[in-house]
Amino acid sequence: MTLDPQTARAVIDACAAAIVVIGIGIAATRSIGRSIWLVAAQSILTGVAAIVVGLGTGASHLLLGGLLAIAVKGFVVPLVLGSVLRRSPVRRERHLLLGRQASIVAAVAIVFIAATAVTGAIPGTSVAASRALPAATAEVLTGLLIVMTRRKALSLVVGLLIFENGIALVAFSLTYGMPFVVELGVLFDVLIAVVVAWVYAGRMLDVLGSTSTDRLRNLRG
Amino acid sequence: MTELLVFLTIGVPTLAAAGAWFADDRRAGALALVGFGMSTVGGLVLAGLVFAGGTAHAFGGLVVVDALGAWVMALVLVVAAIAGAGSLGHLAHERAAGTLRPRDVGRYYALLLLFAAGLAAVPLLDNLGLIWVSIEATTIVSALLVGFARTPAAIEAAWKYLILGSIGIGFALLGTLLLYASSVGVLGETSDALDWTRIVGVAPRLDSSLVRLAFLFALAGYGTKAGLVPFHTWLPDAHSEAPSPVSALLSGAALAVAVYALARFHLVTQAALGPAFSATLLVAFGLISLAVALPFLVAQGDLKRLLAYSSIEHMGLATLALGFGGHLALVGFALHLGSHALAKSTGFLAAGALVAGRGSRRIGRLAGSLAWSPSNGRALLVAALVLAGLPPSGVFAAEIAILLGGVRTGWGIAAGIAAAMLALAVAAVLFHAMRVSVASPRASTQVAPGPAGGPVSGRGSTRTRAGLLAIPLAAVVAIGLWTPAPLMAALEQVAVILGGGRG
Repeated sequence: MTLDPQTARAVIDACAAAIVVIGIGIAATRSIGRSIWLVAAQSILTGVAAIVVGLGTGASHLLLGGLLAIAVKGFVVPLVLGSVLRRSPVRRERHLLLGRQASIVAAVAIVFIAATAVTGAIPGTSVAASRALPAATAEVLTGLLIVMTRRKALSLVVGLLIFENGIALVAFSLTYGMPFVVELGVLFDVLIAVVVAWVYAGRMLDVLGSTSTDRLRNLRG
Repeated sequence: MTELLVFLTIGVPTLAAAGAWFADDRRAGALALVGFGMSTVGGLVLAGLVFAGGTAHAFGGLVVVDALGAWVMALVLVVAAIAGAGSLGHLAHERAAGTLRPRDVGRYYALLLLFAAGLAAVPLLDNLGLIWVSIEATTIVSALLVGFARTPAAIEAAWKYLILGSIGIGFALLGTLLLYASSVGVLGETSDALDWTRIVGVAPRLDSSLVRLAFLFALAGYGTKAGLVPFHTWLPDAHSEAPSPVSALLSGAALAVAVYALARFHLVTQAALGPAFSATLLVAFGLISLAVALPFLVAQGDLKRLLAYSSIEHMGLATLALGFGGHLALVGFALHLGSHALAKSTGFLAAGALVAGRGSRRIGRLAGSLAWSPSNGRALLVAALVLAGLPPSGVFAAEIAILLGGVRTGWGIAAGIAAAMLALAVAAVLFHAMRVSVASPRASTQVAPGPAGGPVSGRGSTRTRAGLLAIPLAAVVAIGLWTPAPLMAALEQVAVILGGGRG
């Protein structure tokens, strides 16, 4: 099964646009539950984009990689995070370092910066997915924004996942992904990182009674 | 033959880890002994073969071990053996203090074995993508070990380490991707287009702007893992909150492995763009790390954090040496990584034993350790003097070689600044070492030893632990006086791989 390049490009562009919009949506919401499901949707779209690149170029390992990514990052990881959330007494971000409006503005600004800075900055990207590269850069930066401005443990994991999605998008917009073993390894690392984060979020609940990293401010110097 | 040795080095500890996870305390200890023992023996034989007979290949090109890889693998395995043996005393103390839960021993050994195997795998792999996967896997496994004590401070340190470490090393993945993008253009889309052996060969034909960007991301990513300033903020927390044998492995081996990965990127970048670009960045980040670590060394009141900031200082120095280049500085680099690994791992074990005895990490409360815990106190004093950079020791010899080498390759001003900062670091570490060793302890300590206070281990185990600490320290000191010919030859081979030519 193959896809003609024209259709492939259109689908990838649509995915890239949706991925960016979801990124802004995560920056805008204070509900941790909603941000988990949004990042799951974003991961699924990233996987779909990978599959479409694979269909459009005949890079068959991207099909399997994309399907695995959808299964792991779109379903397993959100379920794990959701189970922590159900135990947690607080399910919304409060006292944000950056207010709601400010984080929306920042997220939109990131998209514009990424779009202008990346287009044409990297030579030789005559790839079907070249429009995904600005989106990828935007998601890497949005992930960093979330990690830097949120305080709940789960929100930080969500930020990490956005960052990972950005890297995955970079991977197949530049080179049709990495060698398959490497892709597998990266995916495996993401999975166990989330499991370990789950373990620690649980311990924070047990020991500190909260998953707010506000309580984690004792180590200095 | 190489296949078998690689299996002993990586495969056996991984299998032992799987067994230890489910085993009871006694069997877990036996499995750990087998895992660490066979892995160290296998790895050291492999390293010996590489130094005697040249680069080894195995598993259809998946594994390539040159002199640099063999050296880093050997030091990882020696530190792992020290940490594994040091775990006996640590766990005995935890058991006596009643902080161990059922099955904790098996899980501890399983994670420690996996951590060591993951670190030892990095210098054996040819594929830069798999090197990334392996380093990230060690981050995740060691995050579980850092928070093993389950105190709020340990959970905080582990959390910071996991999140900052994963974000930081994500940049290294971007760097790896960009390098792949540049090499695909030359080598085509094959799975070996990420093999450093192949990339170095075609480096002059790579797209230079992609390589430049790739190195910047790799520097930020692996720089985070190596504890280079400004990516170091997780390090003092993780290295001080972790159980002491884990601190030994983190500071002695994990940092060296990150520097190794950075060195491979540096070699590719150098071959593609010429020496100036990456060398200048390495020298700059090395100097910044030295400068920022210094005030924290001076004003430090916590013994384990003192050792952690000393690691930032020493990784800054190693990065500086890579940037200086040239035969002499690179021989110094290899000697420095090895000596630091031995001294820092024993230092953390001795510090851990002292901290367990007093129930506090404050230098003021540990003061006078030579009197109240002679064998550990002596080991800590020697380790601290070596790490401060006092002669005679491998660290001192390496520092002199690095600085002189820097002058020879035209980095005179940077070498001068580094020398001044190293001198100040000597004074700072020496001051704290003297306080811990001979100052009179604060009155309060005698009245109220910490919750875990009092001697817990029997005479026999004290003596074994003293020997465990004395042997590596004696080796580090002896290297400063006399370097055996085979060791010198090995160091020179590492320098040649790093582009330092023959002396």
